Amino acid sequence: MVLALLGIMAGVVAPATGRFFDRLSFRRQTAALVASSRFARLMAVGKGKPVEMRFDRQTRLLSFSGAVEEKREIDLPEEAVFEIQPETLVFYPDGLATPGRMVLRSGKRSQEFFIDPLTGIPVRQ
Amino acid sequence: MTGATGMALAAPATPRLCGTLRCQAGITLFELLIAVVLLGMVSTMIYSVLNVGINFSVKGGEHLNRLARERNLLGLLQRQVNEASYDLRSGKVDISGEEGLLRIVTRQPLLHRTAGVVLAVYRVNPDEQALYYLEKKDYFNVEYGEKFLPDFSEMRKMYAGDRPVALAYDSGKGSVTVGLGEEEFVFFPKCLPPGVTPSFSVAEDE
Repeated sequence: MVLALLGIMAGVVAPATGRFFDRLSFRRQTAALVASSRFARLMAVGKGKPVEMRFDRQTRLLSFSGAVEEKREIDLPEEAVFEIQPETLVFYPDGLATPGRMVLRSGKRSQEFFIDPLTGIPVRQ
Repeated sequence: MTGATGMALAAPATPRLCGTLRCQAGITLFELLIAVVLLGMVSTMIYSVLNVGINFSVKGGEHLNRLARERNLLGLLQRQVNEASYDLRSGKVDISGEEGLLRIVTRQPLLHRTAGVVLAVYRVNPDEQALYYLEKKDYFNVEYGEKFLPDFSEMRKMYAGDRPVALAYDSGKGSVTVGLGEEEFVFFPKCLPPGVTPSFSVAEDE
């Protein structure tokens, strides 16, 4: 009886737990991308020079050039697709930025961020 | 270790420590479920309290973002109006516009930073209460005259805040008025017509 009850409970809880961890993982990926764009903006403002941010789909590296020269690996699953439009986002020292979009798709999940040209901050759509 | 201490450690549990059979039998699944439910209720109460703080933090962040957006919009407009170019042929500042529309030939581009002089066009979409922006590098193109009215589809949304935005250009005074909600900000171009030199008068001490 007890085992049957535990089995039923596990059957109910397991799929929800799986979905929860999927969502958590997707959130972590989007948070890393948002943090990267904020880093670019902060470097541009802090160092007084523009920072260009690009994403290389082949190597899956986010590259920063200008006030800071750096390449960052973004931990994305194989099936995930990340796009930046336009291909190069520029963050300026006055806090402004190229208006653009960042889109992350992973399985059925999708999240889009609009780069506010007036603040350079990614805004969830 | 003394013999007495060793005996004490080896002694079995006395009824005083665990006096009932129920204690020795452990806990039932029903008791475990009750404990889980109680834990869930307590966790929900704690989360609801924390959630209030999280919501306040989010609202504060949004408010700061809105202020930054407004400040940067006004700063950009001020720079672009201040640095508007002077058209020698027409003998006036290269700013034109009407209610909700502003065209500025300026040395302060937003999108094409290395272009030098550009045409910046702002247009208010009254349905969305949003401000759209367009920048053209070929500002000298005759198509971009005083009747140039770009479609919203070819412009970029620049600002959409809680407060409605309004634009007006007074050709008589040469001033650009930006309205944000009930507040109004007036900017003047700093370019001067040819032949006019700025005079800096210094009051002499008597």
